[in-house]
Amino acid sequence: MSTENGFELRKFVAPEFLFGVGALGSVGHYARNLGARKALVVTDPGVIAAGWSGKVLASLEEQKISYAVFSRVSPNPRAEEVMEGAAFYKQEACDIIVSVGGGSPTDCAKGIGIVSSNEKHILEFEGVDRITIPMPPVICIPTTGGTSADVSQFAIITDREKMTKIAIISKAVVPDVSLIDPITLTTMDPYLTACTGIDALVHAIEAYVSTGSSPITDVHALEAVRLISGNLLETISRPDDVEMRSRLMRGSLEAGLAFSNASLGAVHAMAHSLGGLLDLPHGECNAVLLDHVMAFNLRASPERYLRIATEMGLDLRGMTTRNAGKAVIDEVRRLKREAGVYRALKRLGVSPPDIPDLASNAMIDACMVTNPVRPNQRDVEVIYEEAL
Amino acid sequence: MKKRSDRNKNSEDLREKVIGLGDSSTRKSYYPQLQRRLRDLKEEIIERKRVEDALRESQDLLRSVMNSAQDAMIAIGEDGLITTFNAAAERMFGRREKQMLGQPLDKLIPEEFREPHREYVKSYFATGKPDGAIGKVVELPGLNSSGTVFPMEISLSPGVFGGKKFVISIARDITERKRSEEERERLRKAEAELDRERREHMMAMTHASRLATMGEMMAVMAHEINQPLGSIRNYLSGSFEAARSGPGGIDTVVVGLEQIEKLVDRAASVIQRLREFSRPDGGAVEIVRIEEIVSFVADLFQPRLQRLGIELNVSIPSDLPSIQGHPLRLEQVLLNLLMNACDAVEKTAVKIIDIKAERGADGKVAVSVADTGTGVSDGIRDKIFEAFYTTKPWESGQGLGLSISRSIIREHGGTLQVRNLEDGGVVFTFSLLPAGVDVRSR
Repeated sequence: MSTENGFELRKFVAPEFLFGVGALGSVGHYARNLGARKALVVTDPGVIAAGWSGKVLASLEEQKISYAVFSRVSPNPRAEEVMEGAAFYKQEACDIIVSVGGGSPTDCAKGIGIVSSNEKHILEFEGVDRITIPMPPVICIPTTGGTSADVSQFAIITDREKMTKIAIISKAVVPDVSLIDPITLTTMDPYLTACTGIDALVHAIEAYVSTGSSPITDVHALEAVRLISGNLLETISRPDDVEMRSRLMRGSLEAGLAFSNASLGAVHAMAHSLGGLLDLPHGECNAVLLDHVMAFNLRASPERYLRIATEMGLDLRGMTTRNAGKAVIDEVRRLKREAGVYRALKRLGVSPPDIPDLASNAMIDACMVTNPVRPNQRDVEVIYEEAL
Repeated sequence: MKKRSDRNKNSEDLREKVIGLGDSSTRKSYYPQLQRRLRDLKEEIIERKRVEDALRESQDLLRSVMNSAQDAMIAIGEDGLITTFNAAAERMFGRREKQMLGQPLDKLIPEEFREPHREYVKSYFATGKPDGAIGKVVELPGLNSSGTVFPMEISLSPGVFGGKKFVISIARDITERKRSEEERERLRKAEAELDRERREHMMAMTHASRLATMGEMMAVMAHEINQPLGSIRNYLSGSFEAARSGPGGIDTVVVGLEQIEKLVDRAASVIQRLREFSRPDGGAVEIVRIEEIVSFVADLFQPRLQRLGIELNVSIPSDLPSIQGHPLRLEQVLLNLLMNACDAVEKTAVKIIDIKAERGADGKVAVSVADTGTGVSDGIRDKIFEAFYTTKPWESGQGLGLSISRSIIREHGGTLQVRNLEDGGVVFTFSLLPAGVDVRSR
């Protein structure tokens, strides 16, 4: 289970990405270079209102690339939205997909791409390596510093009928290009900044303790921990500081590169379950569950958690491993609290009778397989109970 | 425990795949797909080229077949415009394929037929119902580039090509055929007319000849009757004298009357035979026995032969087959020959006529009449069968006998020939098919 063995097989896949202020404005060039004639721009009303979608369209227009805009995307993108988007893509005869927004438009754009080239229902692709025909070129422009779906091999789609989230996992889902512009983060309100920031921190921590981690992903994961934990609170207090936003954005990117390759763990498995059953916002679910799962996982690889603590700036000198572990969890809780993310599951609408179903779904989630400890049903139920 | 380890195994497999170590885990790449597509395209191109070649070949073949056809082939599409116009059509209408493709048929149809034709085409393609000409061979007028209307025999067939309906017409200029048909009909009529005339002529000739023969016979018969009449007068004179000489002369009268009775019978029998000969000709073909004909004619001539001192020998084997024919006409032939024979021997020292019938090697029945006359000189042998040729004084006949006789024998499928005999005299031989052989098939 140890990830210290540097000779174990590991893979690392990342998209071409352009990071920095002004990255967004090059979308037209990228689309042109990829041979596009008409782009399907997948976004959501919030991002449109923030003005980022308009900037993307302007850049496309500059390069004389026509486009069609699809913005009927829910916070947890739904299978029917993906199918509708794919039909729209076909109807508009598009040949490239540009997503502008957070995880929802990005995952929806990935789903539309998969369905467009494979011509099957999106729910048929649940699982690992199920994409047989590569999707059209996908350019992602993330506008939240959390999900990093713009660099990841994951697409999470909600199956409303079964009240679950399905995970589509494949290196073929990694976008072609990610244009990561920190400027886009400046329009996030403090709470969204906090949720997405904690979400990114969860990515980094889960990737680092994942049984699929590698020395290469470790570098990104630890850098992400350092950047996020060190800058989140300050960013919330100075929302327009582009330098701060950039650090957070880079933290999110580093976390994305790590988790896309090392995968995640119980936090995500359980958060997916919550999102599917109760349609709760993903970042917040992750944030709520993080410290409880850490407490459960601590015993499996305490030295990893201690390393995380170091990156978080804790001075653990002279502490027993047990106390050091507690200190890490305390630090995470402090961060959450100070960032304003302190609602418990009960406040989010979860009640005790939901827990067995939530736990069952979490148990079969693909993210669970790389959790450092393999929990049983009861273990997961207990974690949910603690997080109530 | 086993279940547990299975689950562990499954989740270990899933973990491997999630971190990208599955066999089919690969970064999105269009290359394999493009390669596949390129290969498919290449194959498609090769296949398409093959199909195109085959198509071109079959088009060329079709074209050369169509152009080598003797009949004009013209196809029209649903819009009524020409899509095919072969070489024979070019010749027939005096127009080039290039000018005609995409054109309506108007230029090929005499004006008064254009509108009905247009209506017909429209209705056919609209309803798909082939009434009228479709599927049949019909005669229609065509119009060539010099404005000449000519008759065509045309067959119209519907078809579908590439999901579109078309009608192809195969046309033949039947001007020549019609002309030769008319010519043939005219000739046939003329021939029939000629035939009828010839038959009538023949009938007339036969009749004339018959009348002539009868005339000749009359002269002979008059003599035959005159003689008994003279004798009767003599016996009557004797009887009168004996009757006037008193009752003692009754025996002489009775003897005279007995003689008179005989003489009357003799005259009556002459008249009877003459009547038989002049019976009407029914024209029917009958089964005829040669000996009956010969004996009838011999009987008819008996008085004359006796008077002229001519010896008539008849030789007919009893097993001679019957023949098929007109008894009256055959009698006439034999009568003619016998009459000629009588004339031939009338003035000679030896007066013998032989009538012989036998079955020849060829299976035919040959009847010959030989005389002991002076024969026929070489110079006239060919002429004697001509009508109105005669060697006799003009009052004796018209010179029709042998001509008619030959016609009659030919009509029976036989021949009539003449040959001089070595020791003078001539023999006429006619041959006839035995009964049971169909004359017409000869």
